[in-house]
Amino acid sequence: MRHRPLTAWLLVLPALAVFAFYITYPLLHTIVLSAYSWSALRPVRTWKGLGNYADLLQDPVLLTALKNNALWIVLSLAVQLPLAMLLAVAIGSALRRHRLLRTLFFSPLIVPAVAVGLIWTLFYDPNFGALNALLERLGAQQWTAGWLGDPQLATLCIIAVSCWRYTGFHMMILLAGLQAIPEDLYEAARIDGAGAWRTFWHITLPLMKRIVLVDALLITVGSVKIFDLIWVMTEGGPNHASEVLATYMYRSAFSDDRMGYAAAIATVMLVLTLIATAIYLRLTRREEAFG
Amino acid sequence: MRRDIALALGWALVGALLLVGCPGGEEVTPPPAAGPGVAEGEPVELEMWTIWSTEPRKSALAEIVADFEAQHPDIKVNVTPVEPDAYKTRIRVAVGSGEPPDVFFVWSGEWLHNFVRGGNVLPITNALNANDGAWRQRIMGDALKWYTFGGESYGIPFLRQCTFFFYNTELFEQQDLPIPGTWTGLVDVCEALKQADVTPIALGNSVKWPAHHYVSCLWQRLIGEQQLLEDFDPLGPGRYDDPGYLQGLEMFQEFVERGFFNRAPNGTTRENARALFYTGEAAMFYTGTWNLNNFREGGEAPEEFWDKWAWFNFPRATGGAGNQQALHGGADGYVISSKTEHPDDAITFLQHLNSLESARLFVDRCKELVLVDGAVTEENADVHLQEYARQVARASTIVPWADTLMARQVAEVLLDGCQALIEGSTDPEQILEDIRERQAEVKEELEAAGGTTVGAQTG
Repeated sequence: MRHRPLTAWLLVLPALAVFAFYITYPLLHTIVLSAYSWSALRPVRTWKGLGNYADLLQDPVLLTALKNNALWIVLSLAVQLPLAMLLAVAIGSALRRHRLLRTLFFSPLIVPAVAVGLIWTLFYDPNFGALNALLERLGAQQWTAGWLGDPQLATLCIIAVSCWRYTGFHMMILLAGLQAIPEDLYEAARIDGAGAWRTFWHITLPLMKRIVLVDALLITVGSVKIFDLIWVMTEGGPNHASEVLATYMYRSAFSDDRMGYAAAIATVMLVLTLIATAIYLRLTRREEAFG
Repeated sequence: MRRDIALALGWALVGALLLVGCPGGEEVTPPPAAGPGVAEGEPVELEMWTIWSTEPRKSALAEIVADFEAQHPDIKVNVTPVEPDAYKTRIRVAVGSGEPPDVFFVWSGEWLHNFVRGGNVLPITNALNANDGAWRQRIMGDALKWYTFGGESYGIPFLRQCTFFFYNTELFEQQDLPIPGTWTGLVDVCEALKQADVTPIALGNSVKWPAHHYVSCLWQRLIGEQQLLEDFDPLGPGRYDDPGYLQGLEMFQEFVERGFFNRAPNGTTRENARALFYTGEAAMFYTGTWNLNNFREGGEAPEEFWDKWAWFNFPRATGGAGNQQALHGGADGYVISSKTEHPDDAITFLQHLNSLESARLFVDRCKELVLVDGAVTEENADVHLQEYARQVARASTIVPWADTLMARQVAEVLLDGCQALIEGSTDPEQILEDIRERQAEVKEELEAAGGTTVGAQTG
């Protein structure tokens, strides 16, 4: 390979071309578009330079969206990762008997996001919803609320649905990592008299570090670009309370007809995703250096 | 390290090639012109986009198109039905990329005006005026006014949708309540219902716009449509200094604070608001005539509800400057793209769609109000639709809702403001302040983009 670089380049060229055409070009084009003010309905594009970004800095909705995205990342990591790990270890330790459980935990992911959103919207409904009815039955009248209609609760309600939907998926990823750990390590640990907790802390976790990092990156990137559940359940409302970058981008482009502004929001999302990836790469590289 | 550099260079090369190569691709080469080149006997094809993607509208349109094709063997109409929410995006992309369908669906108001301003719609004034305005006169009431900008008419209003207070006749009889004619009368009725432990009005505001109907109608009653149009015009001064603006928002705020709606309207879907109304938990429901088919016999409402409802017009605001009898509504319709290669054939098709024959067929199949004089008859419509048609025919004016008249971005501020009023997290002064500010920004952007090629709303 070393002495035939041209052949190598020719071989990867088709893949590179596809990647460049479908990923690199639109990406660069979006950045270019974010420097204009334009409507999809008019042929004129007016040069705005960094004006869209200046507007973004002063936009209170963008601040709400950023805060909500941060909340999505933190809560998704804090809830999904430990829960998925717990489930993976519990199910992995007795895999055969729990095949049914494994399928059950994974099943929410198979249901389309729109259906999930609609079902949970009914669940949260303030007048007929199961949640308020349940609370009333239990005598917890004071806990009933407007849920998705309450600006303080809307985002939390949707994050809860997202956790319900994705924890099983992350469990599967961690389970795959778990199965790659050689059984004899555990055997040796048992012979040395290590308990379940010590085994987990000193064998499972260190050997899983990489896969946990990959999974954490998946959760983070997923939280930066989360869109479908929010759009189905609240459309970012009430009054932008559950808005995130992706919903605000969509709203700006297709409802407000501010294409340049939407492109600027997309660029912000790109930068955030790149930062998350860079952090991840640094973490794994250090891992390689020491490992 | 050297490998990294080589890789980066390679990437830069590929990127540069594509950047250089692609912008050229944006200039769409015009398809070969029809006309002389087209062989004799080959039919002209018209592309038509619609949101009538569900039954019975879909088949009714198919029948109308089939009739047309039978009468005009040289023209073929290809209908593409798109689900309404997706349509809003798709039509913008199609028009924006320079490949619009020949005939397409529009919502009246600013939505249409925006297409017109961009020079995307063909004016059909001459065709409407031909033969002593035979076509123009066929269109019911003042609906065409909302398709007319700067003296030119751009398309046909087809379906009329109005909003009314629908009420549960049984509950009103039980409580011995009058039909309120004024806003204060409505407040009294609501208070009486509340005392009787009935939710006065169902409101499902998770989609943001239903609550704004109250403010929109109050503004029309208090301020009058002329002043509204002047303030809403995205290229106008946008002063919003009539005291009626503040008053209207405050009247709605009082309504919310007195607890006349169901709990958590912002978290309630429209479907569940309807359910509150059907089950008699709520006595009234302010909604559009698009729900007539849900309420009537055979609709989604439970059978015991079918004969328990009626409606009244939005109450008068005593002392207001607007037309106190006006109805509130919009008119869905069709326009022709200015880029069409077959303008005459497209006009012929619109004329057929707008004929009495097609209108009667559509009313018969869909039980909706088509804006053609005489379309609704005793044969093809039930009592509710006939009554509705009479009211529309009698109405001196039908004023569109504020969110359809304002520039989209400004309308969003109003819709968000109404949601926030319900939450109690803002006040009327603040909403007006935000509206003025956003409208100034929109005006600046519009003017930077070369302003407009077409004048403001006339009438």
